Amino acid sequence: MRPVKAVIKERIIKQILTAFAFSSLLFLFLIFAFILIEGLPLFYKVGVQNIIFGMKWAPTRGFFGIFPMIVSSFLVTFGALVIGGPLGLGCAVYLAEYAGRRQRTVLKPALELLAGIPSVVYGFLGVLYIVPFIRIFFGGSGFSLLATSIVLGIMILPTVISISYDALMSVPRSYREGALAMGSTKWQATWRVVIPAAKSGILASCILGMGRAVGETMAVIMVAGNALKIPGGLLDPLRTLTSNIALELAYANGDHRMGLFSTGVVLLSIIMVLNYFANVVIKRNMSK
Amino acid sequence: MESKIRAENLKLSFGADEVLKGINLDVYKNQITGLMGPAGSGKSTLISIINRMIDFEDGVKIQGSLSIDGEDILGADVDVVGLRRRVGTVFAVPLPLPRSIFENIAYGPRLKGITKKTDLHDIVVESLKKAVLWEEVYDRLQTSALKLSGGQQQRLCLARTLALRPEIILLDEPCSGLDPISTAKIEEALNELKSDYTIVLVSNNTKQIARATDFAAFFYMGELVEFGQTEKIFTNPSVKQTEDYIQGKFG
Amino acid sequence: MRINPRLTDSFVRYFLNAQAMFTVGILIIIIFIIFIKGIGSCSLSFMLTYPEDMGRHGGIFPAVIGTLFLVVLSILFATPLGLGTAIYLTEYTKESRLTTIIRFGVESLAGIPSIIYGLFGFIFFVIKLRMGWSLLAGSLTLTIMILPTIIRTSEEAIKAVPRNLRMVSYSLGATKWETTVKVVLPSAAPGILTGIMLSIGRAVGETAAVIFTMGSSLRLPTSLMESGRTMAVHFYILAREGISMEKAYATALVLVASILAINIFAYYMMNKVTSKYS
Repeated sequence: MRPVKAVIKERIIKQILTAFAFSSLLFLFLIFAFILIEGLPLFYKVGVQNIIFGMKWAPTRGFFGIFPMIVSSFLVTFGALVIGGPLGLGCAVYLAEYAGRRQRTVLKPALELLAGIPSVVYGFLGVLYIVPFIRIFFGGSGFSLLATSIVLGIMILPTVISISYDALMSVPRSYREGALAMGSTKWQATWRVVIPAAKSGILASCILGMGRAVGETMAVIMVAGNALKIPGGLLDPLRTLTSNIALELAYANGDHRMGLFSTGVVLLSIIMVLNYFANVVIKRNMSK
Repeated sequence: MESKIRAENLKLSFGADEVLKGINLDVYKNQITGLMGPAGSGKSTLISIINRMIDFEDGVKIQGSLSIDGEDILGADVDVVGLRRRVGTVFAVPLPLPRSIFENIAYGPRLKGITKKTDLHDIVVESLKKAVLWEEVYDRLQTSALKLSGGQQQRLCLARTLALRPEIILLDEPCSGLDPISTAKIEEALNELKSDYTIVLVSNNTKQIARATDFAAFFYMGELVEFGQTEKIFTNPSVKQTEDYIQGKFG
Repeated sequence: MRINPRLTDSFVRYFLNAQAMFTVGILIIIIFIIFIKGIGSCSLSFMLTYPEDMGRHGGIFPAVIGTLFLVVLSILFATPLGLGTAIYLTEYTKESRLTTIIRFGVESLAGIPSIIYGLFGFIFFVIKLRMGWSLLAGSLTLTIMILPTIIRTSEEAIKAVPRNLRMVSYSLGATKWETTVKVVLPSAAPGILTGIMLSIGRAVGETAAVIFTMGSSLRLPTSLMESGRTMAVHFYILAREGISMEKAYATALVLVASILAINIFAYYMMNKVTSKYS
């Protein structure tokens, strides 16, 4: 009865594979569920505004204000974009429009290697080289918004470059050739035609870069200092939402621990919003 | 003459498109039946119904009946895998698997459960001989099939189906793109094979149909216009359309 | 006064080139520093000796083993799950609302930062499922983290296999699963392996998700339920606690060198894909 046995086997295989495929949804659900289960109660207990807009974080004494950290997270993200955005875009434009084949075969793997270096190594080198540099030449302790922005800016380069590169490469050749045929120089063609055409993809790369920066933990812990205040300037130390969680999770109990999960809820919300915007932007690109 | 494959009022539509409009056809056992007609007349579609490869297309509706040896093959409970072993197919483009010549041919038999090295070897040798390819590759069975020429690859594909000892062999424009010598070799192989197999040959090339088939069926726009012995069709066709096609007035 | 556009053009070319060189320069400097500063303390015996005095002296053997176990386990869990998902999405279903939802799930998982994975793994595996800080908790967490990468790369690799090859297999009397295993997967293997290599690279460098699930015990983990360290975690602790800059550099060297080796191997694999279909 070979055919029947074979049909049953195929059916079982299909069911197993279906279960595997749904496991991703299951994991996503579990992650959200447990972060929310642990993080939401404190919002009810202490009050949403006291957490999100609270200025004081002293969880063992009942203060769960993470507003300075929210601001700090945004500031380092913005700073990372200021440093990594233009540099990344420039590299992407160079790769897509100006680089020869040989250069491309060297540059592309180099980018992937840059992406593969662990964040702890970035943080380590940041502490040993960037922080003292800032301390000597600019002042302060060196552990600062500036240091964090520089390190994060470098870390988001691979993201910004590769997605912008893809966006630029997907601009049809005819656009460039059309512009050049009308007598513009390469840069004029690139600046006036190609980059605008790749606008959505480039924007998406920045949003995704921001997503990466805001979620980064280990490097930030090592170079940002540990101040619980909103940084007054570039040279002031700070603590981000991610650092908050990572620095205290190991020894937190009870409400303290719940406060860290609440921090996680806020962080997750920010990331989801960023990802949503990135997707919207990409979809607008597709429909063009 | 015994009918091997019978189509009765066979209709097929792709969504709103009627590709086959009620085909009544008998393919006779141990004969080479040629299907000819301009592109889009439904010849390849008929082939894909016989081997149930049409299952992989979406939005297809089939009506009527198609049976092999009197047994319907269109039903949902038909053992399709077994059917495809009884009905071997050679496609228009040579499609060797990215493996050795030996492994290409042994692929089907292995699926059937034949694992002994000696059995497989015998099958491979026999199939290559019947496909008129043995002489050219006997000393390099372990080399990659991708290194063969187009004509050789196509004969390899023929050997591959023969390895399954099918009852029917379908060939869908197997010689398009092949040089005359390779074409001749395949036609020679088919002529030897017909005593053991029922063969259906689809071709855009009327001269090939005239050369290599016993029976010919002329398809036009999804309808079977005329069917009969090849000699008769080509010397004295009954329908004017057939005559025009054969004479190359359209195509 | 209008600037000659051709002048601008040349200037821009050099400027962009400089940016690209600068970026590559950063990579080179990073590798250079790690290498120069780490090579002194690094050696085979460094990798094979136990640490002494919290890592101030000795080697990093438990961390090497911890990393090995963690990564192997994670790949062991994630590969069938990820490959199975990819096979399901490409071979067993057509594009539909269902597949869109699943893909959304996968993309969302990919966007979650590692500290959140650390939080989740901590509360779910370590606390609720009572695994404690353990190899098991760590690898399960990492499995979910690397799953999207494996799914994405496997899907791409499977999709790249020409449809015709599948049709040939079917026409020779193969079932869908037989075709997948005997024709599709072998052809897609280099691409799939690349994805696995990339995931290994990521897992080796991961810290935030690991330290809160696998812990940071200095002992060599001998069972699934035991805690341990990975090289990344060990490196982080050495650096942060200021235990030993020397040993930190050496650990960083081993870390970065492994990741480099893995990436180079993955790149080599990817090139095999393109040459296979020439």
